[in-house]
This record gives sequence, structure tokens and C-alpha cells, in this order.
Amino acid sequence: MNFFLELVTAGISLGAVYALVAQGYNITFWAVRVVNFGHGSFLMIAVMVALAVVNAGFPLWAAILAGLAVSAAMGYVLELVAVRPLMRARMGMGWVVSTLGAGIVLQAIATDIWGTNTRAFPAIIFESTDYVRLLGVQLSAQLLLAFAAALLVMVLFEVGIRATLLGKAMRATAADPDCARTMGINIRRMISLAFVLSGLLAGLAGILIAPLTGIDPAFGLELMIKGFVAAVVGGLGSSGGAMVGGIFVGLLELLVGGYVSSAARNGVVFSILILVLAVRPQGLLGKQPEIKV
Amino acid sequence: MRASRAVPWLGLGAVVVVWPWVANETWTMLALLAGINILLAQSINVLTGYAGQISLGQAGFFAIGGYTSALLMIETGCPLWLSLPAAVGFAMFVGFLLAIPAGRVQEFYLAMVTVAFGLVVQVIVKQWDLTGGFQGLSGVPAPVLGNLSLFGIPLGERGYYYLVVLMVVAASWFQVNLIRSYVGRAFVAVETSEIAAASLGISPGSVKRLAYTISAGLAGLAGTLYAHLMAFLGYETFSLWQSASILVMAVLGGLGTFVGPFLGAVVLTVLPHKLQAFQTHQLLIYGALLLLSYAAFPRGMAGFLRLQSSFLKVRPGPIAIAEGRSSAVQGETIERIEKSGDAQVPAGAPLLAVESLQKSFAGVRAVNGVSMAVSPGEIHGLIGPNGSGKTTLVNLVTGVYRLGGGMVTFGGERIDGLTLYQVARRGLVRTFQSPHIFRRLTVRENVIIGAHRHFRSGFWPTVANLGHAVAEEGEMLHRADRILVEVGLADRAQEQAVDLPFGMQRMVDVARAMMCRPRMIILDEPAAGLSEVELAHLGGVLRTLRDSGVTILLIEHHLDFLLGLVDRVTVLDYGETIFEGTPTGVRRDGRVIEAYLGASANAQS
Repeated sequence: MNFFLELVTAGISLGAVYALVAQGYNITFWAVRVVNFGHGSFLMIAVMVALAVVNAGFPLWAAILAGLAVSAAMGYVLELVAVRPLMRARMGMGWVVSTLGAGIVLQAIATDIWGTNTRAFPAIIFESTDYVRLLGVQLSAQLLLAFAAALLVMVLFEVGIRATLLGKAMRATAADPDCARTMGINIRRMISLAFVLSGLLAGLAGILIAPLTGIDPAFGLELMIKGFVAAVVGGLGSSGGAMVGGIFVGLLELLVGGYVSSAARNGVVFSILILVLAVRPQGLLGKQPEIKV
Repeated sequence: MRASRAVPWLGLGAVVVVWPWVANETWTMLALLAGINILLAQSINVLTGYAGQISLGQAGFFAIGGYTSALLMIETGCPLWLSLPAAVGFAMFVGFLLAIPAGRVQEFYLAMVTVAFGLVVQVIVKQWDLTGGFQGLSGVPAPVLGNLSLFGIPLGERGYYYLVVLMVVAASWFQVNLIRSYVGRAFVAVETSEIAAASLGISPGSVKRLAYTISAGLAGLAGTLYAHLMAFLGYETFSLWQSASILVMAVLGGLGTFVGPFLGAVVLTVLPHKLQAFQTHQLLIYGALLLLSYAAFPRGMAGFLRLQSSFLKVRPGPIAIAEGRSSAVQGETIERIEKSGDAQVPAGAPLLAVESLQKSFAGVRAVNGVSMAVSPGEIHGLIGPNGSGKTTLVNLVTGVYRLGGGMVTFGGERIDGLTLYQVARRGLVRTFQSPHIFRRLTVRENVIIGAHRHFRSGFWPTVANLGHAVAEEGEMLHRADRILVEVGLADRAQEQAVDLPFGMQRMVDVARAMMCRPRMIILDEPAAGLSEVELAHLGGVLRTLRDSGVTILLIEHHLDFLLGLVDRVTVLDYGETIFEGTPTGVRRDGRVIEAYLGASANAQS
């Protein structure tokens, strides 16, 4: 029973981080119906930069800020280089190829600078050996921190997008760009902002999970795809769906890993993506969109 | 083919034939790998370059082909001539399964699915004892081991080389025939606009599934050839990185061109091997190519050759305009009614009947209980102020939107609940407010797509260029030319349709709908943006069409144009029918005048 509860709490915590990744897709999906296929490398670069800053002797908080700043900036550049030119040329699926390419370039650069070895990332606030005992279950403090931080960010994000003027402008842009433009909203800036926020969430997710897993140039790929699964299971474009989907993926992964085999867990999680799209493409909380002619 | 054009091809063929006798071991190996890579690049080209779909999991199909053939031979002693088609067939089957959601989801969902698929295949290959797990699968029958034979003849390294060449040639021939057929044109149509394709009776879901199936088959074939070349299969080969490399070859070579995959595959097989700098920075170079080339040079290396690809089986010349003008189309459509299996209606019954149709968008009632009946053989006008629900009504009737209530019958059959392409297949064809031109296609190719639902040749006769498939294509082309004469586009037949001025694009749209041999055409504001001359011409075309038995529902703001053409007219306002009757009646109707001019305006129009 304890084993089960441990898996469940760890799964939920991990799932919250996946939700952050999925939310990163949602934001750009709202803005331009684009999902960053290089998202994994954004996670990785944020962590790598933070680690480099720590190793240069700066405090951890400064390192984390630096990592987040870099991933946000990469979001800005990605939109400029890999998305905007293709949108202008109306090249249907070109952005899948170009964002994937951006991810590979970043991975190549990281490999060049830092090599392919897995490196440890320092624990944040707590020690990696800190545990909390709750109802007889041992919980890793680091994992709980990840859960709390991810949850907090998701809530803040939701409040921000609903309550602030900027958030309303973003939602307006998502709903109808042409109409938003006539209301005096700078569409281009909104789209840039969406990619900056998406990059920021990627960096955050990376930094929350890095103390648990360590970091190498290929680190983001798996997280990126689990983020896909989370977003699709919940319904792409739905914040609540990202949370539900993320937790579902986290739970599934750890329960399969704990009771079936650790080798099968990724296979099962990735297969879920294929299954959900075949059966319920709009996801659990998504709505079936009506096409515009 | 003229002799001067044949020389380089013969030269190239000779080089390919003598290659294994003059090249050393390294270069023979490179040629073999290039052949396999050509198939892989082609697998992306068919999918992405023509059908506009994408796969980031080609390595998965590559693996399935390789392991299936290898395991069949190792475990069951199956001969190569059987294991090869079995492996290709299995890869195609998996590709089809993976593309099942294709009809319902946006393309990039399938991009995600293919990423996941590629990784799942790799996980399975890595974990499964049967596939050799971590150690890999060794002892795959291969020329280097001296245990591969075809039909009892031992295959040496040269023999295997010729097998690969044969496969590449066969696959390329198959693809050319496919692209130059109604199937290939449907691919390109879906790539440009799914909704326009569906309005002509093409099922976008089926097209995408077919594209994925063919793509998987080509990658599976490459995998099979790779397995028996290497004698060993390891899970590392089938990574996401491999899938990305396949994408790079196709993108660099040039998507949507025939030569592209050859160029991309050969360059990226030879360069990494011969250039040390290329090898050390391969990841960076490949990433940069993916990142930039799609925007910078979308047709890749092939784009610099400026080749014009054809999508027709037969090479047509200019149209002889001497053929009798309007009688051509008249004879044409009358022939249609006799032949077509589309539903007929009993005398007196309407062809299209709409009853108490409802549709709301987020609480706004766009269509609120509209009823309308269109009799066979008439031109029926549908008018109303902006936002009165005309286009929504058309979208409901043709299955673009789901109904909020009410029912639609066409030729006595309920058609509400059907989707756009199913409606079109029943002989109810529509156009859109803005012309939906299929780019990359000529005017003639654009028009012949309209005949998609009438092609009877099966898939295999079409890709094998059997006589009756070619003859059918010729017949359809003849019909397309006659329609082009009728709408006045004969001298523009060979031009790229997107380069035409707006008014002519509109006529291409109308011509394409005519090519569909419909029972009924719905034209959504065909006169918008046309000059007076073009307008008069359009009016003439519509009358001829009506006289040949095609029913027309005409939505138009240009009232003089519309009222001069129609037999009956329906007027909508705020989603409700406010008038149905004759064109003379509508000019005098109080409610109509009020809707158009406001309550206090004088009763004249």
C-alpha cells in the first residue's frame, strides 16, 4: 500500500511538471496554432545555462533566473526565425520541420559545449536526500517542491490570463486575430509574447525536474513527448486539460514502471498518445472545433 | 523523347549499370546506401511533398521493414522473394493503422503521433528478445555472409546491388505514375485545401491514410534492403535522429519534385562520408537545414533546376478552339444525366429540400428555422443582407457544419449528417466565396480534379499505367478541355492557375465544379469581383449549364445579375426566410425592401 501511495504522489508531482510542458504548447497553440517541436531542447538549454552559471560561482537563484531568461529569449528568437517566415509564406506544416530543426541545432550546440555526459544539477532549496513523511509515506522534498511550484505557476498563469488586460489581449488574439487587430492590439507582439512565455515555461519545467534526473543534451526529448501526451490527453489548448493530462501521464508512467516493468513505461506512455488520437482526438477536456470557411 | 534529351539519361543509366564493376568496395557500398536513402527520401516526398502530411517517425517504418524480413528469414526460413513483399506489406499496414485518426485531426497531431510511434518502435526493438534486444540482431541473411539468394540464385554483392537498383527504379516508376493520376492530384488538392478537395468528392481522410500507407511501404522497403545489406540490425539505427535525417534528405533535395529525393539522398550519403568537417558537425548542419531551408528554399536543390512537374498521365497540347463552343458543354452534360448514377427525383418533387434548419454559434442564432425547396432544373437564387445566414445555410446543407436542428434531403435522400465529400459524391457540388485554387497545378489540372469522383480505374492499374487507366485519363482530359473552351479559358489551359487574374480564377472554380458532373451546383457569390464583361460571360455559362439539366443554387449580392438569371428566389434575413417566390415578386415585397433598405426607405430598388 505504501509503495502504491509513494508511486501515486510521485506520479502526481512529476505530472505537474509535464503539465508545465503541455501548457507551453497551449500558449503558442492559442496564438498561432503552432506547437514547438524543439521544446525539449529549450528545457535542456535552460538547465545547462543555469548549471554553467552555478559552476561559475554564482548563487543558485541567480543561475535559475539566467536559465529562465535564456529560454524565454530563445522563445522570442524561435518565433522570429522558425515560425514567422513560414506563416507569411503560408507553408502549411513547415513550422513542424523548422522548430524541430531549431531543437536539433540547440542540441548540437549543447553537445559541442558541454559534451554528452549526464551531469548532476544541484538540489533546489532542499537537499536531494530530504524526505517528508506524510501518512506513513516517504516523499521526496525535491519532488514535492516541483509539484508545488508547477501548481503555483499554472494557477498564476490562469489568473494572469483571465484577470489582466494583457491576458485578455492574448485571449482576444487567440480567438480572432483580425478582430483583435482592429481593437488596437499589437498582434505581432502578442505572438512574440506567447513564444516568450512558452520558452519560460519550458525552462521552468526543465529546472524543476533537473535535480531529480540530472542533465545531458538529449534530456529534453523525453519530456517534450510526455508533454505532447499530456496536452493531447487533456485536450490541446485547455489549461485544465494540461493539468489533468500531465498528472495522468505522470501516474501512468510511475505505476507502469512500478508494477509492470521500468522498460515498458515510456513505451506505454507514448502509445497512449496514439490511442487517444484514434479514439478521442479532442482529448478529455478539449472541444471539437468547428471549421471556418 | 528526342535523342538529345535521351543522351544524359542513357549515360546515367550506363554509369549505374557498370558501377559495381568499376567502383571500389567503399564506393559500391556508398551507392547501395544512396539507393536505400533515395527510397527513404521518397517516402517523405510522397507524404510531405505531395500530400502535405508529415512524419517524424520514418525510422519506425524503416525498422519494421528491416526486422520483419530479417526475422521471417531467420526464424521461418522464408525466402527473400516472399519476405520482402511481406515486410513492405506489414510496414504499409502499420502506416495505415497509424493514420486512422487522419480524417479527424489537424496534421500536426499526426506529427506528434509519428514521433511517439518512432520511439515506441525503438523501445520495442531494444527490449524484445526476438529482435535481439540490446545486442542487436545478427546473422541476417546477406551477401557479405554469402547466405542470401533470390529464386534459388545466390546473391553476391553485385547481384544485390542490381536488386537495389531494380527496387529504386520500380518504386520511382510507381511514384511517377501515381503522381500523374487522379490519386496524385487528390494528394496535391488535399495539401492545398482539404475543404476545397472535399467539396469535389475527395475524402481528405482517405487521401491522408493512403499517403501514409505508401510512405510507410517505401520506408519499409528501404528497411528490408538495409537489413540484408548490413547482415546486422541494432536498435541505435532506428532513433528519432534517423527520422530527422530522412526528413533532411527530402527537404534538402526538394519536396514535391521527382528529382529531389535523388539529389538529397546522394548528397547526404556521400558528403558525410567524404568530408570530415561535415561528419563532426552533422547534427548542427542537419538541424540548420531543417530550420532554414523550408523557408529559404522550399523546393530544395531541385528548386534551382526550375523543372515544371506534370500531374497528368498524358501530355496534352494546346486546345483547338474550333470545337463548337456552347454545344460542346451542352452535349457533355446531357450525356451526364443519362450516365450518372446520382439520385433522380420523381416529377414535381424538389431536388433539394431544406426543412426548419437551425444553427447557433455561441448562442447567436445564425440560421433559425429556414425552409427552402429547389426544384430540379431551375436556377434558384438565395439572397439576403450581410449576416443573414446565407453562407451558413450552404455550409449546413453541404455538411461543412453540423446541424443544430431540421433536415436536408437531396434527391429524396437525407443528407444531413453527411460530410462535405459525401455530399459532393451524391452530386451536390459547391464553390466558395473566395476561389479555392490548387497551387502548383495548371488550369487544366485544376479543372480535371473536378472529375475525381468519376474515375473508375483502380489504384493498381493506375500506378501501373495500364492501358485502360491511361485511356480514362485521356477521356477526362478531353472533357476538361471542352469545359475550358466553354468557360473561355482554353488559351490559358497550360498556365499555373494561381497566376491567373481573380476573375479567371473564379471561372476555374466554376469549371471545376462543372467537371464534377453534378446534379446540382451551389455557387457562393460567384459574381463578386467580376467585371461587367466577365459577369455577362458567367451568366451565359450558368444558363447553358441549367439548360443541360444541372440545377443551380446561386447566392449573390449583385441583384440585377441574380434576378436576371433565376427562376425562383429565396430571401433570408436574420437567419429566417422572409420571402420565397419569383424574381418579379421579390422586387415588390415589403419585407424584402425593409430588410435591404430599412423600414423608412421608399419602396423601390
